[in-house]
Amino acid sequence: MRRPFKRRPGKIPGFPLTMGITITYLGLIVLIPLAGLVLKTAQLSWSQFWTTVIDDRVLASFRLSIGASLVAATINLFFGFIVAWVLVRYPFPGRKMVDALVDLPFAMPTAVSGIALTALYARNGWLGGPLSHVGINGAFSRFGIVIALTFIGLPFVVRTLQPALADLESDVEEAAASLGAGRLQTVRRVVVPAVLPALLAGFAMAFARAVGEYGSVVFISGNMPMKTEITPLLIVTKLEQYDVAGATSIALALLAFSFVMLLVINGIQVWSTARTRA
Amino acid sequence: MSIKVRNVSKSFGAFKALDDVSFDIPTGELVALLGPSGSGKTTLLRLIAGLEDLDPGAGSIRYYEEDVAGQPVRKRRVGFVFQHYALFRHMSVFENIAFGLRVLPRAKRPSRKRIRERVHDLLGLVQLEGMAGRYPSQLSGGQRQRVALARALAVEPRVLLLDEPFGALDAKVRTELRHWIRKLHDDLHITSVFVTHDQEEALEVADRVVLMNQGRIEQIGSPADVYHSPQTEFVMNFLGQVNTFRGHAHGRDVEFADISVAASDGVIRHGDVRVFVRPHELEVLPQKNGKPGFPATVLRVNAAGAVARLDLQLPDGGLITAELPQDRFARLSAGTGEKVFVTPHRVHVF
Repeated sequence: MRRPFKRRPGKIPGFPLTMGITITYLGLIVLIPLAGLVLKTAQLSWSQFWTTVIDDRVLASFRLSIGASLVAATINLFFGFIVAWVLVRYPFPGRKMVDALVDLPFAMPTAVSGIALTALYARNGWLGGPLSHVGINGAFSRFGIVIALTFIGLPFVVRTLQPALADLESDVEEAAASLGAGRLQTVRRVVVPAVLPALLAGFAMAFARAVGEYGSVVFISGNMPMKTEITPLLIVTKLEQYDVAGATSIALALLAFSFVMLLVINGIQVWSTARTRA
Repeated sequence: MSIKVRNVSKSFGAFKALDDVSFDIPTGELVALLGPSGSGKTTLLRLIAGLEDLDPGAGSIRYYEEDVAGQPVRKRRVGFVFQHYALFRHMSVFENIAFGLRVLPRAKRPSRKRIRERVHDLLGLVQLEGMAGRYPSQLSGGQRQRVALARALAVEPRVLLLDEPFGALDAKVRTELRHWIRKLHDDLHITSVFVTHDQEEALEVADRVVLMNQGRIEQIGSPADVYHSPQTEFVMNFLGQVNTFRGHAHGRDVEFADISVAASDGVIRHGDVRVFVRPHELEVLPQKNGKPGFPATVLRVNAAGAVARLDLQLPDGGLITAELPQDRFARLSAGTGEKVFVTPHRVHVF
C-alpha cells in the first residue's frame, strides 16, 4: 500500500534540517528582538505613537538620517565602483595592502573612527583647517555627518562589486572596443549595466548601515537638535530619559521606512538580474 | 582588404610569443592560423585586431597600404569574434547586434529605422529570425556564436577576425557551423582570419593555412599543399597522424625497416634521417607481391568508420598504424595476430 505522505529524501540532502536551523536562528537573532520592539511600542495608543513620531525634532532627525545616508551611499556608489574597478582590473604593487585597507572601516570600533574623523575635520584639524578657509565646517555639521557615513559605508559597495567585476570577462570590453565604442561608452553601456545588480546591492547595504550608524556620527555631528541630530542619537536620548516606548516608536518608524526603501532597491535588483540571467 | 604583416615580434616579459613573423593575407581570402597552444597564433590575431600592441619598433601591420600599428582597435573597423562569444548578457540579441551602430558618433549613426532594418537583415543572414528579443542566456552555444558574428558584421568591418570560433561548441554543432561559415564567406568575400588548433577544421574551411609553432611560421599554403607537401617535420607531425621511422639516406633513396625506397620530394640527402609515412599511405597485403615491403603482425583492428585502422607491430618491436579502405580490408581479411606485409607508397624524409 502506498503511503500518501511517505517522506522521500530529496536530491539535495539536508533540507528539513537546514531549514529548521535557519528559521530558529533567524527567529532568535532577528525576529524576537524585532517583535520586542513592536510589543514595547504597542504600549502606546495610536495617537500617542503618532504624536511622538511627527514631533518636529523627530521629523528633522528622520530627514537628516535618511538624507545623509542616501548622499553617503551615492558617493560610495561612484567612488566604491572606481576602487573596486582598480582592485579587480589592474595588478599594481601594494594591491593587497589597498585591498586590506578597504576593510578598515568594518574593523575599527566606530567610536574610534568618529573621534579620528572629528580630529581631522575640526577647525584646527589637518583637513578641517583648509576647509574652514573656504567657508565649510568640516566637523559639527551635516557635511561631517555625510563624511562619517561615507567612511563606514565604503566597504559594502566595494566588497559586493568586486566579485561581479571579476566575473565580467575582459573580452566583453574588448568586444565593445572592437565594435567602435570609446572607453566611456564601454563603461556606460556595457560594464555598469552588467554589474548593476551588485551595484544596487552594495548601495542598499551601505544605505542601511548608514541609517543605523551611531558611534562614528555622534562625535563629528555636534548633535544640535533640529540641525545635526541623527535619529539613532534621538533614540538613545529618549532611552536615557527612560522613555522606552518613545524610543521604540521612533525606531519602528525609521525601521519601516528603511524596510520599504530596501524592498524597492531589491525589486529593481531582481528586475535587472532577471533580464541578464533569464 | 589585404593585410600585410611584416617582421612582427611580440614579447610578454621574457616569453617571446612571436618572433619576426611576416606574411600576407590577400583580399577576400579566408585564412586559418593553425598551431598548437602557445604557438603565438592568438597573439598574432590580436595584434592584427589591435587588441594587443606591437613591441616598440618590432615590425608593422598594414591594411592595404595603411600602417595601423598605432591605431586603437576601435578605429580599425575590424570584426572580432571571441571564443567564448563575449556577448553583452544584459542586452537582447537585437541590442547586441545593434551595439556597433548605436555607438557611432551622431553624424554617422544610422536612423532608428535603418538600424532596425540592418539588424533584421543580419538576423536573416545568420538564420536567427525571430530571436531578436531573446537574451544570450536563452540561446544555445551555436546560436550565441552566430549572434556574435552578426554583431561583428553589423559595423561593415574591413576584416573579420575569429579567435577559435568553434572552440567552445560540441562536435556536431561545430561541423555545421564550420560549413556554414565557409558558405557565408563565399557569399560575403570579406577578408577573414581565424585561429584554430584543430587541423581538420583549418584544412576544411580555409583557402590558405598558416602553420605556426613557437612564435614562428612553419609553412604557408593551400590546405592540399600543406597536407601533401609538408616542408618541416613539425608540419608533418601536426597535420594528421603519422608513422615515424629511423632511416639512412643515399642520394634520392632512403633505407628504413629493411627496405629502400625513393623519398617523395626527390631531394638528394646523405646520412641519418627521419622517415614519415601517413597511415593511409601504407598498403597492407597478405604476402609479398614484389614491391619493397616489410613484415608486420596485426595487433588490433578497428573497422568502424570510413576506413579500417590496423595497429601493426614490426619485427623490431616498433608500432605503426595503417588505414585501409573498407573494401581492401575485406579482401585482406586479416585478424589479430596474423602476419602481413606492409608497402609504403609515399615516404616523406626530413
